[in-house]
This record gives sequence, structure tokens and C-alpha cells, in this order.
Amino acid sequence: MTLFSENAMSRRERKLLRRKGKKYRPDRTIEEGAGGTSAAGAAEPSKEHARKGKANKLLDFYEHKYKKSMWFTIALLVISIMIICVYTAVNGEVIPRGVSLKGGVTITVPFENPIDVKELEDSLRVQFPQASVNVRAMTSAGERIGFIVDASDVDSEMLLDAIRSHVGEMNKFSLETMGSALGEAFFKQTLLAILIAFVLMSVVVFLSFKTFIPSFAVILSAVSDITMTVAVIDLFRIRIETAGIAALLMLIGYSVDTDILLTTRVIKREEGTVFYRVMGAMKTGMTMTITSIAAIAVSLIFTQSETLRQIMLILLIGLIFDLPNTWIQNTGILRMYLERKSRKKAKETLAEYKDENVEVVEAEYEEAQEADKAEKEEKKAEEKKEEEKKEGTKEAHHTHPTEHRHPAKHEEHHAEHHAEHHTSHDIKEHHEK
Amino acid sequence: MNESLKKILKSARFIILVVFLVLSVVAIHPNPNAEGVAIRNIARNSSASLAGIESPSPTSSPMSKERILSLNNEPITSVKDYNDFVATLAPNRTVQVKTTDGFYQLKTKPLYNITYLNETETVTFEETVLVNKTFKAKNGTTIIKPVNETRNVTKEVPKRIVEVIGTEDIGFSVYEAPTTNIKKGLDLQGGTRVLLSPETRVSSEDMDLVIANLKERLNVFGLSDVVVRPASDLEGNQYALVEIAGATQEEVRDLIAKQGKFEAKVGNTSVFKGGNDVTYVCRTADCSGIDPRRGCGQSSANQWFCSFRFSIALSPEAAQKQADASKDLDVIVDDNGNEYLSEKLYLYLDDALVDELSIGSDLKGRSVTDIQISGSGVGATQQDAMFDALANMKRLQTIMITGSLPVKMQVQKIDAVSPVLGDDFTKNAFVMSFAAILAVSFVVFLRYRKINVAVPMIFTMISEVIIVFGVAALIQWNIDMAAIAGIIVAVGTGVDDQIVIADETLRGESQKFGWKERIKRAFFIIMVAYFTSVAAMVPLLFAGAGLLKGFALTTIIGISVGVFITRPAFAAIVEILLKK
Repeated sequence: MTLFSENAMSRRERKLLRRKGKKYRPDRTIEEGAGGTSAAGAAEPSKEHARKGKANKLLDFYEHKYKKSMWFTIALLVISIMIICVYTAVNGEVIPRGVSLKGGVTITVPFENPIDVKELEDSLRVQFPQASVNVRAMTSAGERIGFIVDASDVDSEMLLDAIRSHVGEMNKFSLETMGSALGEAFFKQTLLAILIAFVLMSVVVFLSFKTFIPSFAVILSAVSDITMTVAVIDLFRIRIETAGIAALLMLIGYSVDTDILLTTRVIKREEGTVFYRVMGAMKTGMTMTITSIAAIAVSLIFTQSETLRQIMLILLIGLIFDLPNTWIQNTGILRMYLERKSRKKAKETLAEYKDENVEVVEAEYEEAQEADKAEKEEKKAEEKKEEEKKEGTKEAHHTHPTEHRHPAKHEEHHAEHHAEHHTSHDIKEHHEK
Repeated sequence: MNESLKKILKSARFIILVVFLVLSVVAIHPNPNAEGVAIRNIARNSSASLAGIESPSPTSSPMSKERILSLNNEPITSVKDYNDFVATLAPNRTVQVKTTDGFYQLKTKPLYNITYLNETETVTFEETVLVNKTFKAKNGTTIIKPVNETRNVTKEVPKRIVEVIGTEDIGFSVYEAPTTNIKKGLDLQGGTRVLLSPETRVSSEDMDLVIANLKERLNVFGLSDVVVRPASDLEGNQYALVEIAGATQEEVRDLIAKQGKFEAKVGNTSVFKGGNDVTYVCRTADCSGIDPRRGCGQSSANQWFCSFRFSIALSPEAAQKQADASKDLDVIVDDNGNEYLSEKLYLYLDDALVDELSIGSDLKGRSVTDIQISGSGVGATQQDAMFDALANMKRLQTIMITGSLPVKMQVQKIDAVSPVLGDDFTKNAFVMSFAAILAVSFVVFLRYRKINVAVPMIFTMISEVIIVFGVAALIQWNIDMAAIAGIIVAVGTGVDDQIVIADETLRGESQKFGWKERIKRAFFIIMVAYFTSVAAMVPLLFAGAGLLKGFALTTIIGISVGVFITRPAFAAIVEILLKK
């Protein structure tokens, strides 16, 4: 236990230093949040402090203005829906479809000798005037490794022969042809598959949490992930093949993982404040998403297969969107839900108490408010001291940010405060050991 | 530390993981030093087939496939070795083949080139004709019975020169020896996949007939590493999926796309059809090949054509029909004085006219069982035209042997990957998976900075990959690109879950919860996440003619292995290592 805590502290410190200058907000927030409870900043006091002030502001914003920050994801979602609508209106389809969902021929040829892609395209267009032919380069790790010919209304063998006459005999190539009727059917079915997947996933989520709003928040997060990903696909006109649809399905399973973690931690646990639990879940969830993004980004760089490239690209886009959708949108909905619930509960209990013994309750209430005040003052004094010294000290950060700005939640607070102090003491103790 | 290690080794959940790991390694059967080259296919009537070597069954596991170890005591270690050796072979020599299954001796055959001259020569050959003969029975009555009679026929044909130009291929189709039992999918080993659908809905019995017939066609054609299976999609449409390892699409497209309804007509009367009416199809050199009487010709500057012919035997019923159809026809005489019947024999394949043959006047009203079928091929050079003609002949022969499909099939989708590219993809997939594992390990180390969390995590991750491959090898599941994506996703989810376990246990430490409680909490999250992922994958098992089934199934197997085998073991390890 001792070993762990010590390690954890120094780890946070190092992380803090390493993260310097990174703009990623929610990510930074956890690091700072975690750091805030501990004795970070001993190494580079002044700089560390200045940064911490900024980070604390962010953390503060995330903690208290979470409703405001939710406008960000709402705006993202609205913009995404608009992009999809415009794309659909202009192109008559929801998503740019590749050969395997539309019909046609794709021939992929890794270079044996590099050729001019544009030249090949012109030559093929002259040879097949009635067909639509597109030639694009294929890259892996920034290097051009081949070319891809997409065509419709042309016989695959004739096209292959035409390419052969241009580039010579090919040892390496892959060919995919798709009848247009089947492509159309495939597309419809994969859409159906996505719909069924959503329904099944929703059933699992509802059965697991058995409460409406938290379950709804998880499903909304998955819907937002997919909508935003599709919007990016539309924006950049990435041609989606069957593998891409599979990736969207995979995204459903992937993206709800962090939401489930968050909901479980926040709804089903009691330790600390709601915000404390959110921060804990975020730390775990971020690690999950970052490992996934690392694995996917590396695969994306190394792969030579178009199938894999598409799957990885879609997962990458989706997981990046999953960050705000989980840690701003889903978290916000959960906190609003819990706030309303606890306010209701507090009112009820207060009413009950008042009926029985008004004086006692009021006295307790005042007492608690005084305690709050005293704490605030203590904090202020500390901050002043800090400013004077212009360096971070252990004591300055040992109080964890709590929700004391909501008097209505007073009852809950008291208990939470307790837990809060308890934990930070715990950590401190370990640290000292 | 030592004590912890002992505890881990004694932990039931860890032992289960190790047992599964061992079983997986046995199933995968890795042998990087597998010698020789594996036999994919043996060509019919080739030297190899005559020596008694058989094509391997397409369902046998990769490591049990017969491998060529040496040829004439020269060790063969790669496809290049094999090709180099075969290139040196002279005709009519014996070759000693040592394989993993035994010794064979085969004799190489010469390869002929036939050139047709503009002169003609007279040749005499035997012809079998069905003739009605009158017999006198013992009781004095006369019986008329059709009898096969052999007679010598003399005809004038173009003169030809036959020369030996090399050695006929000895008939092996080989590939680099597999080093594991993991079956590679089409895009990783190269080959062709064709998705066909019947033009109209057919009963499941008819669909079975289609599948059996397609399989037979490909086997008769000379391709044995073939999987043909029925498939369907969410709307209940029927499909037949054909996967042929190592073949190119040009070879097979026409063969499987044809319904194979072969019909011969005299005038408008149907005389015989492919399948039951045909009792024998000649495929040997003496009665099939380039038509010696018609040969090859040039129709324009770069357009050659060649004719082929092969003989078939008709059933007596079909022969009788032919006799009935021709008995009322008139005899006409052409410019050269040859006598023909007024109607020709028309050959149709899938309702398209393939060829028409003049019927000699001597066949009028006679039931003949031996008939010559002919057709042609075209090409830019004489050589090309000859190849095309012979390929057409092979297809036609195959279709005549196997009969027609009960319904016309339409080609919906063709995927082809050249074998060289497949090898590239395999290597690439290896490099990529390795890099992905490294990247994940790196992040995990950065996050935890603790050997006793990070190392078990990476160990669990790698065991998961091994067990998924083990399951794939055991159930002979083809690993293709999509399946690799599935494995990457499953491993990614696995790492996610381990992070949940690690964090729950580390957090629990400061919250003073019992170990059971911490693990229980972690597993609630894991199980909900598991069921949502499975729920998302299930529709893919049925959609799109099963083409994404590989991906969906691999993902489901992968995450199931993770949830039920590796994650409990990881929880046990972490529990023991941190509980001090």
C-alpha cells in the first residue's frame, strides 16, 4: 500500500510535467484534478503553480459549469446532423458508398514499379468512355505503395487487361466486383444490422441499469458517436465499404464501454462526491480510450490492407468523438439527474425534520453553514499565502474541490465532505509513510 | 515476491488460463521449420496423378497436408526450389518424389506442339456406330437389335507436324509449407471468391443440388482446394459462396457462372441434353483437343481462331431420338460433292448457340451413340487462340460431365487476391499486430508505472491472442483481414477491461473494500460492456450473405475468451500481487 501511494504521487508529478503545453482539455483536467489532491509541484514551484491556477480554472469550469460545457456537445451533434442532412440532400445517399455497397469494380495494385496515377486514369477514361473510372494512390506510413482503380459499368476482365497493358504484368493485385443489385441489398441490410444492434445494445443497457435517464444517456452517447463519425465521413467523402459498416457496429460496442464504466461508478457507488466519482471514472476511462487509440493509430499507420485501414480510421474518428460525448454529455446528464434526485430527497427529509423538530434542524443547518464558511475562509487565507509566496505548497492543495456552492445539497455535502477528507488524509498518510 | 509467484501458480483461475494456453498451442501446432512445399492440388491425368499422388482434401488441417520434401534426392525447401527443379526436367524421365506421406515414382511426359500445314493427307480411323441388326432367334423369329459396330473410315484431313517442345507439367500445384494450423482466409493466401445467387427462388433441395454440382464441376475441372457453401442474408435471399484457394478469377468465372444447360437440336427438335443423356465424355488426347480437321486459322491481322473437338457417347435413348429426328431429312450435296442432310445439328449452351455441325448423309435415320462435339476459341496469336480453344473445351467437357444446374445462377460478387499479395498481407498483419501490442504495452506502462500491474496486463493480452488463434485453428476458422480486425478489437476490449479491474482494485485499496467486492464491482462493468459488444455483433452474423460473419464471429469469440478465461486470471494475479 505504501509503495503504491508513493509511486502514485511521483507518477502524477511526472505526468504533470510531461503534459505541459498540451491543449487537450478533459485529459488535462483529470491530471490536474488528480494532482490537486496531492503534493505536486515541488520540483518547479513557480511555473507549476501558475499552470495549476489555469488548470484549476478548467477543473473548476468542468466541475461547476458542466451544464454550460454541454452546449459544446449539443453544438457538435447539431452541426453533425446538419452536415449529414446537407450531404443526403445533395447526393441522395446518407453516406458515400464504395464499390462493395454500390456495385462496380475495385482493383488494388501495389506498385512493383511506381507509375503516374493521373496518367493511368486518363488512359483508362479514354479506353472506357462509357464507364466512370477513378484512380487513386494508396499510401502506407506516408509512402505511396500502390494505386486503386474504382470503376462502374465496365467488365472487370477488360479493365484488368487495360491496366495490364499500361503497367505490365502484375504479380500482386486484388480485385473486387459487386453486382449493383447486391450492393444495394448489402447496404440496406447493413443499415438494418446497425438498427438491430442498437436495439439489442439498448435492451442490454436498460436491463443492466434499470433506470431510464442514465440508460438513455449511455445510448445517446453511442448515437452521438456514430452520428458525428458519419458526419466526418460525409465531410471528407470517405467511401465506405462493408468493412466500414462493420467498424460502425464495432464502434457501438466500443463506445459504450466508457459510458457503462462512468454510469456504474457514478450511480452504483457511494464513495466521495459525485464529482469525485466522475474524476475516478474518467481516469480509468481515459486510460481505456487512450490505449485503444494508441493501438488503432499504430495499426492505421502500418496496415497495407484497405479493409483494415477503413475499419481503423472509423474507429479512430469514433473514439475521439467518444471523449466529449462521454465526459461532457453523458457526465452532464448524469449529474443533472443526480442533482435533481438529491435536491428532491433533501427537500423531503428537510420537510420531515421540520415537522418534527424545527429548531434542531435549523440549528444543525446553521452550524453546517458556519463550518462551510470557515472552510472557505481558510481556503482564501491559504490562497493569499500562496500568492504571496508564489509557490505551490502541500497544504495549498490538500483540500479537494467539493460542491459547497450548492447550499440546497447541504445534507449530502456534509457526508461527502467527510468522505473527501477521509480519502485525502488517507492518501497523505500513505505518502508520508 | 516468490511467495506471490507460488500463490499465482496455485490459483485455479490462473491454472485454467495456462491449460487453455497449452491447448491453444497444441491446436495451432506451430512449426516454423516445416520442411518442403505443401501440395495444394494434383492436375488430372498428369504425371503426378498417374503416379498415385492424390489431391489433399480441402477440409484437412494445414499442418496435415502432404508436403514434397525432395525431388530426385534434391531437397525442396521453397516454391522457388520446386520451380527451379521442374524447369530442368526433360521428357520421359523418372522423378523420385519424397513426400511426408511416402515415396512416389513418376514419369515425365513430353509436351507436343502441333502445326497444321496447308496440305491434306488421308487418314484412316475407327468409328463406332450403332447399327440395327437383324438376328435370327432359335425359335425362328427375327429380332432387330441395335448393335455397336466398329468400322474403318478414311478421310482427308490437313497434314500436321507433331514436335516435342518440352516437358508437360508434372501436375503439382504447390505453395510454401504452412508453419501453423491456422487457416488463412482468402485475402491472406490469395484466391478467388465468387458469390452467386439463383435467378429465381429455389427449394433448399435444389440449392443443395446447385452446391453439389458446383463442387463437382470445380473438382472435375481440376481444382480441389475449394469450398462451396450455401449462404443467406437478413432478407432470406439465397446465395452460393464459392471460395477457391490459389486460383485466378479468369479460370473459374465462366465455369461456375454457367447454368450448363447443354442441348443439341436437329432443326427445332431437341435430340439430347447434357447430363443423363451423355454417358461418356472423352478427355484423353486421342479423342479430344484441337480439331485436326479444322485446325486453326487467321480471320484478320491479329485475330486467330482455333477449333476443338472431343467425342462423347450418348445413351441409346438419345441416340434413337437423333435417328428419329434425322430420318425425314433431305440429302443435299455441297460444291465439293460431299453429301449432307438438309438440317444441321445445333449445339446450345445455356440457350446460346455454341456450334453447328453438318450431318453426313450416311447418318440419316441411324442411331449413333458416338458423337463429336466441337467449338472454337479466339486469340490475338495462334498460341492464344489455341489456349482459348482448349480452355473452352475443358469447360464444355466439365459441364457435359456434371450436367446442368437446376436454376440459372448469377454472379453477384467476385473477389480475387493474387497469392503473392496474400503473402504480403500476412507479413504486414504480423508486423501491424506486433506494433499494436507494443503501443498498448507502452501506454499501459506509462499509466501504471508498476511492473506488477503492467506485466500481467501484457501477459494476459498476449495469451488472449494465442487462445483466439487456438480456437480458430481448432474449429478450422479461416483467419482473414476482417478476422484480424476482430482480434485487434477483442484484444483492445480486453485491455480496457483489465484497466477497469486494475483501477477498481487499486481504488478499492484506498476505499478499504474487500477484495471480493472490488472484483465484483469490476466484473459488473465488464459483463455489461461484454453483452453490449456481443449485441452489436450479432446482426452481422446474419447480414450480407455471411461475408462479415468472419469478423463478427472472431470478435465474439475474442471477447468471450477474454471475459471467461483471461480476465478472471488477470483479476487473480492482480489480487495476489497487490494484496500484501
